[in-house]
Amino acid sequence: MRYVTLFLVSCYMLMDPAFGQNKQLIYGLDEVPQNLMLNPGGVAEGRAFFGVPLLSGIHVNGGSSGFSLFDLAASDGKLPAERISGLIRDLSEKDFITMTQQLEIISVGWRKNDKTFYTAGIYQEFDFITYFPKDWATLAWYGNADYLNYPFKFDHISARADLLSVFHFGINKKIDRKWTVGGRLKLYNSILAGSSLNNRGSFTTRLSDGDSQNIYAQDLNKANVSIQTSGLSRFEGNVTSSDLLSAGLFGGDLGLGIDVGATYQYDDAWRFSGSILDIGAIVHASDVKTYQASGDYILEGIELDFPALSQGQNAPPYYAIFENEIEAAVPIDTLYSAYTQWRPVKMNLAASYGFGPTAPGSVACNCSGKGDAYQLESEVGVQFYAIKRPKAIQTALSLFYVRRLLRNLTLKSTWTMDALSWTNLGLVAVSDLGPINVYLAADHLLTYSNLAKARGASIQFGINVKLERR
Amino acid sequence: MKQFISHFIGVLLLILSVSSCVKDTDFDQFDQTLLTPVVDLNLIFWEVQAPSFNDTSGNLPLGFVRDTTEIRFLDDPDTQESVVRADFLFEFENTSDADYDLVIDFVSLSGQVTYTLQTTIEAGTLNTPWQQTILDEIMAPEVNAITQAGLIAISATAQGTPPDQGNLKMKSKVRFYLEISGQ
Repeated sequence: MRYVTLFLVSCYMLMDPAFGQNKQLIYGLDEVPQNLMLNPGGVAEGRAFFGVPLLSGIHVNGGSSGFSLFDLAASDGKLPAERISGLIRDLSEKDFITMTQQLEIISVGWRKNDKTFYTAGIYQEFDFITYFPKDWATLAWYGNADYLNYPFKFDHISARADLLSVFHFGINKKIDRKWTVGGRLKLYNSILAGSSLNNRGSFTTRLSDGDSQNIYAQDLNKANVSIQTSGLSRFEGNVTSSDLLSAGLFGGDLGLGIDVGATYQYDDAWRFSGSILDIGAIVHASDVKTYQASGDYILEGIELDFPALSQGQNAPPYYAIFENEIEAAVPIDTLYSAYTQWRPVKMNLAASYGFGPTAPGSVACNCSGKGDAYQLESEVGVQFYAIKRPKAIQTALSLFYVRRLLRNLTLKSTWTMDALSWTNLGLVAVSDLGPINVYLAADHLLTYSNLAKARGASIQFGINVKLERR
Repeated sequence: MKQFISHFIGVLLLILSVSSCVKDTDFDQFDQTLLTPVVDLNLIFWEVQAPSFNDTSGNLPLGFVRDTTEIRFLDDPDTQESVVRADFLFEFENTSDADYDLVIDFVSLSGQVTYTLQTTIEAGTLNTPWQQTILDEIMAPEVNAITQAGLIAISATAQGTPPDQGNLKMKSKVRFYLEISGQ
């Protein structure tokens, strides 16, 4: 256990703490069928479950790593310009704003036998991240006059948005009393995608050093900036609900991915688990437009020639020549070729220790020590989450406490440390009201009374029908 | 007791989800926010060889040169409104042995001169060029005369006999002070 903790802490220290699609409240919580979506090798309870269509999994989160709405727009009498100047100064190009929304449309799971459990369904996802374009915010806010010799870097522009539907089928297999493994095949259907990633080059204003005939050399150096889009035309003109439905049902660009996961139940108390989600890519092949600008140019200004003109002759079109020079040096092309984009792969790791009496409703004792591990009333543990984002792997570390209060009520609380906050407390309540399974989860609870002061907010909700094992 | 706890937590979650709100913020304040970037741009540069002042092949009189260019980057009405001050820096270098009367006209697309800068560039030599810098700071409301212009016309007149060697050079840049409101 000490080594597991050491490993998790080391991972956390080595990578950027962050936030994204982390569902630390649901991960590893056997009582919620959707925990299998976070770990296909998780523990599957019951004989079957059916998610209430459109209500079985609703997840919304959003946040910013560097500031809250309050930091931006507090009604505290300060001049907004002063506040924005402070944010531009304090934020770095690694700070980001993110928003994720998921909606399960269909979600079902059924047991083939004691060892095998299948899951299948469709969910829709919107995922957006933009990094703070510090250099370009600085240029827009202050201008370049006080930034001579400073290269405004294009790699500060980095953003990605994806709207897709996902069709999935998963198998959860209990190998023995200790090991459960699982995998899921995903078919991605991208409805709309846009991104501006891996931009390069810079723009610098400096005094001419012989490389410009004018006062400044305004140097666009090795610029390579692109915006990739697919599916935009689906949203042009009159978009009907049937258009959206058809785009959501295999009407978009397709991709394949897998989730894998495993759980190791060391004994009745200790459990270790891990999963890797969304190992896959989408091939954007239809309705693709990539806008790309690349090149080098030193902007000198407009050069006059003072030609000897005859009566009726006009001066040369200097401005048009100037524009043409720029366009020739830094052409903006529209490309229609297909491109492939990897999904943001995610990883979950967890270690937990159960203690106390058996959970209400569980068998009283696993006396022979040979049967399945049985649930204990309380669990504590640690979870690690990582997601591959355009600029870095972002991570979060959570400590959690699970308490099975009643036969039909389970609570899990988490303390999560990520880029948004080191004091993110979350709580999920899961209740089985007969066959109806309901869960409600929220985090950043300390700032819930005033979300403006929160760096992030997340809520998950779902209703399922669960059939117990015979 | 456990039932009480479960009800309590259920109600707490419900209250949290219903009562969460955004307070102590005022987004209307951004209507008044002014971005005030100060932007430096290269403007126009040229070099006229002294013999050009002796060239009478065109329709211009001896000792006189003139040229014009569009400056379309000020066409946009939002940009025009945003400029509250413009500082022009002109650097001249004269290696010919003539003084020049130099006129820089800002001209609207309809042909009306909206702003004029005049100066005299003194004579220099090939070995000791005459160098002169002019900083013209134009504040509001006079700066409107600049932003309304669509053309810059530059003319130089050699005083006395036009020179036959050396040249006259100009470099220039402009520093625009912008104020952009949030509305």
